[in-house]
Amino acid sequence: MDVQYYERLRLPRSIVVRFPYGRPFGREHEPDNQRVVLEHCLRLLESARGPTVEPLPYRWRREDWTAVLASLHSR
Amino acid sequence: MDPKALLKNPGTTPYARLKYLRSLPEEKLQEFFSGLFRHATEGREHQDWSALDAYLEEWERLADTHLQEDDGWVHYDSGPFVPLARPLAECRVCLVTTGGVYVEGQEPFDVRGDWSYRLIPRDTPRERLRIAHDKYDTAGALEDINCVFPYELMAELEAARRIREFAEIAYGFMGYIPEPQALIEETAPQAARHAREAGVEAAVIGTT
Repeated sequence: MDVQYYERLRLPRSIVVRFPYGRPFGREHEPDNQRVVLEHCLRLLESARGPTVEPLPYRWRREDWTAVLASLHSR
Repeated sequence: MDPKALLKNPGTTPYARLKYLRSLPEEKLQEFFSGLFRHATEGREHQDWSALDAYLEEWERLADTHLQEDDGWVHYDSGPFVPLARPLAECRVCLVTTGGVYVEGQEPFDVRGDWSYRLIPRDTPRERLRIAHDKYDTAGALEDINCVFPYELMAELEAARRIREFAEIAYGFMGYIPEPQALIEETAPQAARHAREAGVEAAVIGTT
């Protein structure tokens, strides 16, 4: 499903990931991957001022999740 | 030969998007299969599968687009929005999943379509969580429930004071609901009321 699909649903806030179906928060046994997605959810909860669809740029299998998480926390 | 029957698949990750080809009309499916045959044959001849790869990608996109245009899917022209009243460090946050998660001893979801929900206490040990859902690849979730229902990570966020509190009860739905009316009118509002009465101020929903 892509961004247009979520826009059509008019949800208050959506995070869209390009992960295989069945792993919305990320890969199994990759807690840093899951922490990154969850942190984006929390940030969107706080920052959205109206209905928002936010696609995440991450690629399945190709990220160093510990580094991504560290850089997210430094922002 | 029924082209839709040819699309029966194990429901695992490699088929995750291709399975939606089923939603295409029959003549489109015939077009897909004849192209598939041609690309497979040419791929074998040249031992180069890149054209076949691109072909499958293109049809996945087409199936996705078709699915979104299908009027059977619920869509809305407007929706509710409530800004967060205070920082999350001062909020009680709950978790909702549509992954078919329930607790051992509760009634499993009916995978043929089920609009009911289960209350999942946050202190449920991992080994007591079960999944009843056959419309997504549950292999990852069965290995590590946090990839659909990150309840251990929510507890961590509470300990780190990123959120004030991870609510005592999480809500488990099973996302395959071909007739969603009872969900819309009954069970979803009921779960929302339950959360509100428990003092929940924000929810993170994981969909599968």
